[in-house]
Amino acid sequence: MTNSKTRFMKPCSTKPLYRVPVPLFLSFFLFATLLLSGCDEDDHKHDHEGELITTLTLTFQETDAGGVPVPGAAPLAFTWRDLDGEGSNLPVIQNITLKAQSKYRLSVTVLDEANNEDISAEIEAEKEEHQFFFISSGVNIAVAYNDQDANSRPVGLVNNVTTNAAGQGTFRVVLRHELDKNASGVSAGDIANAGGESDIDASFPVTVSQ
Amino acid sequence: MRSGLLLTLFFGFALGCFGQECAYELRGVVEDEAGDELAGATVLLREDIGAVTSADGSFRFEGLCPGVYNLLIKFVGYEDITIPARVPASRQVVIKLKSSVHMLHDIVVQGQHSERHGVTQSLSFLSDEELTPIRGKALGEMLQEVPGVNSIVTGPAIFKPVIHGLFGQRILILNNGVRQEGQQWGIEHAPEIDSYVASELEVVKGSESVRYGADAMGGVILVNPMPLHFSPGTGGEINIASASNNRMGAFSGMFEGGVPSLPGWGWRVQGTLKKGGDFHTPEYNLSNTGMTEGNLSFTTGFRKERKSLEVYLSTFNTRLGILRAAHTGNLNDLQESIERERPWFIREFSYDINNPRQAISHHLGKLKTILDISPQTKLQMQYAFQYNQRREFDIRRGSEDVPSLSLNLFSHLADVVLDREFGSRTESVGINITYRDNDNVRGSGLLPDYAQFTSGIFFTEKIRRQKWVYELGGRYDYQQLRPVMFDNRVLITPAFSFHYFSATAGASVHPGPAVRLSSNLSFSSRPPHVSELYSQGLHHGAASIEEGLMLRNGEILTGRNNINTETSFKWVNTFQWNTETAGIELTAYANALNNYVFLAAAETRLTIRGFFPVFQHRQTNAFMGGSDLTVSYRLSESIQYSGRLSLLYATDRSEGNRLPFVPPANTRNSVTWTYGNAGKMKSIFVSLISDFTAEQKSAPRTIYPEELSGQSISETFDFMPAPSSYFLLSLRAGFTVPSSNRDFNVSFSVDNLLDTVYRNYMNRLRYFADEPGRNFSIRLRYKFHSH
Repeated sequence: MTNSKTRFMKPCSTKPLYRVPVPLFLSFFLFATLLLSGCDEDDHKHDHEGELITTLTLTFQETDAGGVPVPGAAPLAFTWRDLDGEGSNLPVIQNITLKAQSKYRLSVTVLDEANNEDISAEIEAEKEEHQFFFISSGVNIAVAYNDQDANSRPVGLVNNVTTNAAGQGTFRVVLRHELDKNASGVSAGDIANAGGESDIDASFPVTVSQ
Repeated sequence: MRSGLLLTLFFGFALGCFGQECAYELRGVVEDEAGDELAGATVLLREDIGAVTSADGSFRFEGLCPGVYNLLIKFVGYEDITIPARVPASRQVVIKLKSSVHMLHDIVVQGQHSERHGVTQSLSFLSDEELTPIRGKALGEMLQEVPGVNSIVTGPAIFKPVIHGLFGQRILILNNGVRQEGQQWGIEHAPEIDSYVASELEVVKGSESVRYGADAMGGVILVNPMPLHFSPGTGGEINIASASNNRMGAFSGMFEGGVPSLPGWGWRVQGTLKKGGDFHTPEYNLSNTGMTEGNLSFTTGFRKERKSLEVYLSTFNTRLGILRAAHTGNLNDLQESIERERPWFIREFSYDINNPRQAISHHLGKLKTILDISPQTKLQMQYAFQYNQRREFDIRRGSEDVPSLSLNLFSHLADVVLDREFGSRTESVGINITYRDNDNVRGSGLLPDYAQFTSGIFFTEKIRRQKWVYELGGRYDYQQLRPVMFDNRVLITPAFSFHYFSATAGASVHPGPAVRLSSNLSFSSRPPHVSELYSQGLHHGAASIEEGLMLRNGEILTGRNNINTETSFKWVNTFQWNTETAGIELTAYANALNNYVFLAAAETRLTIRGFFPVFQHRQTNAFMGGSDLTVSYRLSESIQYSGRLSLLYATDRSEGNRLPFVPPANTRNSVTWTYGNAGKMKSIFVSLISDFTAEQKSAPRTIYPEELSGQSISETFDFMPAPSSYFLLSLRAGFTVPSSNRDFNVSFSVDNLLDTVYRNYMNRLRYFADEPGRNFSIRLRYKFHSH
């Protein structure tokens, strides 16, 4: 029941050697241990940590009322990044800046940059078990899901965002895993009855300006 | 009876005899095998005429007529003996008594196998008979029958023994004389031992560090199988158990015998299979708490006049489901779980074991030889190897079969002990060598790869003087520890050396036949375990990050000066008093621990899942003191009452932190009716047992998960208040159908008879769900033998 960030990788050549004199019969058994435990060649490649998420990127592409991207408006990407996972280095969080009274397409990307893993692809592969929730406070930002899983339930990797009046606040993104998408309000974006586990619960400071 | 009264009686007797002829005297002295006089022994000349030996062990009868008298001598703790004595006698009769190994009302412990542990310690013993109604339970659960022993529980199936407040790397388990080498540092790691192997369990509630080394600082649990049979003929036992709450079935079989063509050789084969599904509380299922277990063991050996040999091989394999609802993503999830009435994940009953789960294999091999070098000297040599593989699987995306923790621990253990007896003195000198090699296959941060070499040399001395037994012992250990780790992709291989020692001194006295007092003072040392030094990781069930004491401000330290050896200075006193109808045992102890390693709240840290509290292993000075009281009283011919009460007080002397996982006060009271026989059924009994566990009033203060966010925390805390006190009732009953070479035993029990809803403070998963409800179980045991 543990998840961790540091890995005690074990290269072959560093089996500790004892300089403590050991009687002969014990040496035989030590030798037997080395033979039996052997040297694991595969250790340098870590299969699929899977549980480490280092980076959450929100990409906002301004659109018109019909959802068509506005030409000339470059997508804005904001990242929440914590490269050492549970380690003590502080995460680096970007400040989201959006225009008031506008519409955006919001795409969510999740990465494990420490192991070069694309977690959004894994989420995509297990869509039925994942859903993002977007909770803003201090400023009114409406988010509507724009994708679906096999059961016609939303996922949250692609969304339509509408900003309203200018202001400053917090934009919180929660990713729930193995939740109950059929519980009341969940498909509308209300996290209250969702259950499951939070794999991401990251808050960005957000500024909506004229 | 006083000699004076006796004289009067004999005067009367003498008057009935013919004059001078019946004025003879019979004198004698009663001694034990070592030649020490025994005061207070009963010497019966006739059924109604007897004497009690005085302080120098002597007795005298006067006014006897010539003839041969059969003297019957009885003394508590010794075998009765009948000796013919002729009157007139030219000199006094010297009577030597042999000690017996009987239990008196389960209270007085006669120091069974006393060469394996001290006799001045606080000891408890669960005999085969006492284990019968609870067989099939996990080892840690069975040990809860012993006063002073509790468990840290993870869900309904994982029990980790706690003796007088100490657990983990401070408790040693001896599995058939071999120190159990698993990942016992882990709070959710139960001992990997087949509980059916035990025909008796002994618990030493005090330091046996002198005899066994650092891990015995808190106590030793000895799992003892039956000794091998070396005579020809075969025998065996079949055990079947079934329980209703988790629809569990267990089957264990044992066959043993001699080898007809090889006199003096014996063998035994034993195996166990267990399967259980989800448990349930009175209100809902505890989904994903199933378990399976499959074990096999083989013993063979011989016993000749002056030597014996034993070979033992065993394998233990288990898969355990961890309550699904206990797996949280972050503090918010934990807050929701705490607030909910029912866990968020509840499904229909199933035997399936899904993630999160544990899969453990433990293989053991032992070779032991005992040589009687001389009538007084015995040499024991033992070599054992163990291979422990532990895999823990978490909730993850992608494949379910990729473990999040995979540890392989290979251990070699060699012990050489010389025991010598010089009359009333017993001396032991020995050397223990252990080599451990741990391989962290997945590289996850809980425990690094390491190699550890420990060697220790010890001596113990036991001296008997009349009614006293004195014990003394000392030990010196040398340990080398070499972990292998990566710090930001740079390989580091620190090497640590530890020199530490332990000592023990104790005395016990039998002032009278029914009373025994003992006192023991022990000093023990323990270098912190590598997991306490270098662990690093997020514990989902605990919603917290734990870090080793060598991790400071994101840096991995390698200096030896950062590590202090933990020491314990424990004083334990035991008083036992026993009569035919009543018995009492009181143990009181005080333990001053310096550089005691524990988890202290350090800070809150922001991660992509939100804030988590960070607990760091730190060393502080602590104190643990308490008492265990056991009482038994025979209310009538067939009704007996027994009760026990345990209290423990623990504190951090240096910083006033409240320590976590301190067992709250608990008391058990039971009444047992024994009916003699009814047709073929014999030894029928019914017991009603009530357990009361108090609320832990000294629990660390509560900070709810939602209250923690970016603030600094310096004091130990708990996410939820301690559960309220609760009262549980259970019922046990059973009978035996014996016959000449077969034995059939049946026992029924109902645990949590009233289907009480409660939470246990010592359960790590009490934030998520209640404890299991009513459980009916039945156990059948069939023993047969042809020798």
